[in-house]
Amino acid sequence: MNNNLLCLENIGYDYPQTRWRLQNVSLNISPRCIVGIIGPNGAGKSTLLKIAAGILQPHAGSVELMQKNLARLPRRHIAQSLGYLPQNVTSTFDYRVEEIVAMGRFPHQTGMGFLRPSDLQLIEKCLAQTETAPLRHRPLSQLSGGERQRVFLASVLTQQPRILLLDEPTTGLDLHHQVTFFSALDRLAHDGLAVAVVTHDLNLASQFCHHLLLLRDGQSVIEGPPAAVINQKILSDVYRQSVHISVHPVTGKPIALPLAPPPQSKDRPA
Amino acid sequence: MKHSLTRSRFLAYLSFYLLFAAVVLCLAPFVGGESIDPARVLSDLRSEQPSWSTDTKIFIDYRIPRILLGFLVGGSLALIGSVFQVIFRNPLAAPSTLGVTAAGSVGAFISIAVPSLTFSWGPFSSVQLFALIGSGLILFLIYLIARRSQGLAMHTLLLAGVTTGIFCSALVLLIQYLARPDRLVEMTRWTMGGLDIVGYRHLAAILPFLMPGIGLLLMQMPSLNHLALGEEMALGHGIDVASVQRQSFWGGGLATAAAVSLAGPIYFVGLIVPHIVRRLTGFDHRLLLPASFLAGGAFLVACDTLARTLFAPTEMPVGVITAILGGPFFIYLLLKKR
Repeated sequence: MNNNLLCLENIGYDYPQTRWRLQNVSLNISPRCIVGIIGPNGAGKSTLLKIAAGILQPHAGSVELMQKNLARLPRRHIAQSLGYLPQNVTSTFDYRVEEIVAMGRFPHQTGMGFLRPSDLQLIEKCLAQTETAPLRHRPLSQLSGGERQRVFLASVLTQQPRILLLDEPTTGLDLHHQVTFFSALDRLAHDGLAVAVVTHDLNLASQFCHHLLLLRDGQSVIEGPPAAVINQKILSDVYRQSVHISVHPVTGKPIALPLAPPPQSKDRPA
Repeated sequence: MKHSLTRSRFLAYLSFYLLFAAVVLCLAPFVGGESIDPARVLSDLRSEQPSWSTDTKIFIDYRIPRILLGFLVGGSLALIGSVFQVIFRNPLAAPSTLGVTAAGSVGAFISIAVPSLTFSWGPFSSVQLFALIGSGLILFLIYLIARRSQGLAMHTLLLAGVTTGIFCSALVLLIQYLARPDRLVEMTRWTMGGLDIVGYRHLAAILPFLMPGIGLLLMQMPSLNHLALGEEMALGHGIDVASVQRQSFWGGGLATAAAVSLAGPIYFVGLIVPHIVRRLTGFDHRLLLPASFLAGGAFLVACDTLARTLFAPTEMPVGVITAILGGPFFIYLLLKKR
């Protein structure tokens, strides 16, 4: 099967002056598929995603974007097919939503990058896809966390990527915004995008991802469909936290519930 | 698209700044301690040089070079400030942030303090040459400190720049302490900054440094908006962040060194003009960079004109005027919410 758009093979990465390292991790990302990268803090999820995006260069292994060595490709060329949304994007200046979204056109522009009519159409489409059109005239400082994330997603979408890499895009968002964000990813994958998303939310990952990669201490523990990865024994071991696995009564997908020790004081004042 | 910069909006805003700069540049040479009759200058310029009146000689040898220098220095400082504020992601960044300004002063002070080091080399005066050498050494030093396999460590660069700046300022004080008292006046005058040059020789001498610097900075116009969103987001959008950082560093460093070597340290223009331009016409660096250059140049020429005329025949140091005028104006802009 070689319709993989992005192939990471036996990736290794060391941070200087620490013993932590990413070891022998492989990941394939293909169209119409959402891959969830999960694991405890410090498992190497973000590092892996940055290597996949070409932000960090791996010390071992290879990254191939559509059969080409990612490290040899110019940034602008990479950005024409690969969109990357880092964690916690902040802006030094208070740009308007329209300006932020239009910036994603950079890899397809030349010279000063003034917008052409075709760019304008595409921007409208991306604003609609992310439901950010009503926010278009607002400055960034007047948006909520969920709105900001959708605006930055829209900016990445105007790159017209075939691959979308997202680092904890729903952290800090409320229930509704988490679900709408993942629903948007679902629609994009349905339209043919290849998506990889780092997340801490096992249940959202189980509902929306087609494939999960579980990491611990820089190594791959298990990879497969949610039904195989969201497993009581595996998760309890990896997270060092007992979990109870159940089945979502509506979707039938597995859900993981932490088993917390019972509260110490039963009659705590209300 | 109401807020995105279109070609027509870019040209409209730019013509506004061009017009402002043109008005200031056309008026400034005729204002001064000696008022000059424009009609006589124009008629003189059509005749042979030996028959020129005093008015025309002042105009050609004093006013025009001074105004050209003011425009180039003010424009460069504002341009450097607007680039540094985004690549350092810090609204307080200014041309002097790299420590190059203070290093230039050390070089200049050495040349002033040691009488045997007063000479002329080609188009350079010794003060100019030593200032350039001082700035150049510090530029290389902090580049080596902040250099990484990919691009520059901007936090390290910021800290290294500020620290070398403080170190060089201490050296400046030490040289002043050790120098012969009769040299102190010239040193004090240098630290105030000034645009009083005669003829075009020294101005021509800094152009080989100033022009490539300005060019390197203007080349970053399409990329800098993305850097405001952080290095990772910029890389994701397809920006070659490492090369933008390197070119901005060398461009800003060269232009600062050149400006300081001839005009001395002029603060405030590089810090405040970019903020004023952002308040007037937005955060898009494709417009901000050329607009800052035009506005900064015009602002410094206007301040220098005041410096020449307010207490004529005595001249005020132009650095004093920029801060006294620019400070309250910027506070006013801060208070008046857009």
